[in-house]
Amino acid sequence: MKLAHPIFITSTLISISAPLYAADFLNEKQGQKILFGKADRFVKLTVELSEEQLALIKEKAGVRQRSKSPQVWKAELKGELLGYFFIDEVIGKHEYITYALGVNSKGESVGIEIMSYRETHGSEIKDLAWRNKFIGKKLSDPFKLDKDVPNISGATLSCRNVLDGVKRLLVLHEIINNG
Amino acid sequence: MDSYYRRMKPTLGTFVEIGVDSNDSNVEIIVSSVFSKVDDLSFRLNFHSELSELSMLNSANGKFIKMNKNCVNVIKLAKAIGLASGDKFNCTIGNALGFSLSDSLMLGSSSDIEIVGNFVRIPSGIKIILDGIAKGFAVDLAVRSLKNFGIKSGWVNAGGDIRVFGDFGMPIVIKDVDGKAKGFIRLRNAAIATSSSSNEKDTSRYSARYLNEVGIDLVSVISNSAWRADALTKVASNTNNFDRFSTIEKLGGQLVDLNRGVTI
Repeated sequence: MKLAHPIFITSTLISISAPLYAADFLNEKQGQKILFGKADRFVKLTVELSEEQLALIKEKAGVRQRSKSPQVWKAELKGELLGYFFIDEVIGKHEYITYALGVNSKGESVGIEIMSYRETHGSEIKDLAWRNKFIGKKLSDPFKLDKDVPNISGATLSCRNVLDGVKRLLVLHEIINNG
Repeated sequence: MDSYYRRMKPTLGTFVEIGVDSNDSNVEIIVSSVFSKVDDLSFRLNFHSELSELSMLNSANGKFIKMNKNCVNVIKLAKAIGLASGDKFNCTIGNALGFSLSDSLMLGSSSDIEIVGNFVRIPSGIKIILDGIAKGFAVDLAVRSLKNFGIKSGWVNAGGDIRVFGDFGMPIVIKDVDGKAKGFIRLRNAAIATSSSSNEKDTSRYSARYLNEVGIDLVSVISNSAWRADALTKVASNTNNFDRFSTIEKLGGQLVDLNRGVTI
């Protein structure tokens, strides 16, 4: 089978020490706009969780809330509460993720958006022996990693860590809503 | 591609990224709309949820079930590639999830799947699992949808199943389960899927582990469509080293075997 366009394999590989994949998708304002498009105001809340509240979150969500001061905003439209906007972080096997969650006034998730995603592992390629295994076409213009951050194809990552984070935040939302 | 709009959301049990080259002010709504379609498909095909359409089929006791058009299409493709590969891709092994295929379990074959219009039937006791093709199918669905909205170039990456479209070559790094980079390619108007095996029996993960006798390393398959690249990584996993290249080529893909070197 011949594909419509050629595929280029590089054999001139390079030692890299920067993170192989790092992407920032949304900042705080962009995340707020996507999850609560109708809101005209976001009010940041000061939340300080007690040991009791942390224990309650662990019990109900099954995962530990690490930060005592989670980042939470009230989303309002003409003074009326639309819901809450959270920013949280999780660490997976190889990845560090910042994400946003919107929760409506009924306590339901209205959406999850990844704000930033960073690979934490495999950033250095010390063993370049494998590059000699690539024979055939050579790239005439080897891509420059500082300009072209490559996308990743690999074993499927589970988004379990983010979904567990969302469970935590939904319990946190109950705590905040109830006073 | 000089400027692009990117979004990433957790869905399909993994992280899905959509990137588009567009300065269109509607790009946010377009990408949100495409994510909704992917989410919808993810819910319908979720093997682990009792409420999914797939679970309705799996618990229908041999009766015909009416299914959503996209669901029927995934199953059609799964059946077709199953038959074409002599069941090296086999979606009727849902009962095997978390077990070795050599255990005695109720497993079917692709020919057990019956499709009549939008109605699907499988023998009672057999379970279909679409993890080996659903991500790829969702990627193709998303790309088609983006093109229908007038997007000229971009990519969709669903947990490592990537399809790139338009006039640019996207650099891709292929990584194994330990996060180590194994290879680099530049992809243009094509799709790539990568799979590996491990001894990890993590049955909570969306992705089924096709534990097999051959013993697989990391393989990537390139094809014109993501569903085919996805499915063919499973065929590759179930084919011995000598026959792998030719088998994948006959089925419409191009194998990139990083542990043994590659000639393209």
